[in-house]
Amino acid sequence: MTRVNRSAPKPAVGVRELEIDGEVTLYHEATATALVLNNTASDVWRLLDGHRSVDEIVAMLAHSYSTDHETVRAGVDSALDQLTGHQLLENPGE
Amino acid sequence: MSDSVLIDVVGVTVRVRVDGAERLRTILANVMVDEPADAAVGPVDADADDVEGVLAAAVRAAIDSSPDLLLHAGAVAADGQVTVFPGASGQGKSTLTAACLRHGFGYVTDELVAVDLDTQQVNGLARPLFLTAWSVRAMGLPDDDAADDLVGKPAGKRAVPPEQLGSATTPGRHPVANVVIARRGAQASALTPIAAGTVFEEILTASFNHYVHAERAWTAAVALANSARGWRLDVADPASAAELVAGLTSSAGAGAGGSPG
Repeated sequence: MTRVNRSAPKPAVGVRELEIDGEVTLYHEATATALVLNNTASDVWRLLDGHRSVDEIVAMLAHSYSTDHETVRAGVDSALDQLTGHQLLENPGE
Repeated sequence: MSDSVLIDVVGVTVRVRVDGAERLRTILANVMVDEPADAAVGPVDADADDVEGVLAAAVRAAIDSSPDLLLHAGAVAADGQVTVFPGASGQGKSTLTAACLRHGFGYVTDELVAVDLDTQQVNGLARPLFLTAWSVRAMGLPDDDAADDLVGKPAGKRAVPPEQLGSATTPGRHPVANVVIARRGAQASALTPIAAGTVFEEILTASFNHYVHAERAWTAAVALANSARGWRLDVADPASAAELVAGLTSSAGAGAGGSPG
């Protein structure tokens, strides 16, 4: 698993969000891409505000899931990889 | 191309030019119109001997003009609600649709569903069902290789009106109660709930024209996935699969077991 290294990820401009049965679906105007996120990715998306760091998001979800940080970190990295791949994050680099 | 016909592709009138339209007018009477209410799309050229190809050409021409989200799907109706079977060609949509008509459902389409972007209510291209020889036999219909309702090129299918299956076309638009993703090749037919997110993905995968409506198509697909129930249907044989689908509604199940019409 590639470790995503982003300081404070933020949703890209022009991304719309709706809920499908508790999961998040996103639509990106610029690429006309629609995406359904799994439960972990949905939770990660909800926490992206451009201020919280990835470490803070991992800590919040580890507490919420009552799971160890390494396991949660893998899920968060996977979610961020998916979001980056679909150009759904602003400034995906450092 | 000496002749011209007008085909109503769920609200979009398409002019198709063919050589000799007499047989087309007989087989496709249910989806033909005399004069377009609005300007017709086309003309597009097609081979009149290939009835399935004529309809495919008309659908292709209508895709960019339709105000609806068009899905590659079969659909049947009961109790004023529709069950939709999204799927690509060759996945058994027509056979499952035909088997459901045998179980008391009304006919919507075996090929093309139109979703209203605002209400998510649907109607369909109510052509005759295009059934393979295997499906014709499975429905208990006479398997006549010399029939004049052969379609496709080569003519591998027959055009079967819903009345021959003991059913009738359900007119108008109706809400979707169930979205059923059918998969053939099971040892035993089984119906399993699937997540709304999966329904959403299947709807967009089956869509011909989501790119035309972009965000509105996404919004409509989300609303449809949230309002309908989603199911995976493992199909061992059409009759047992249709019985399971009929079990999702009350009146269709009550009509099960009818003899071939």
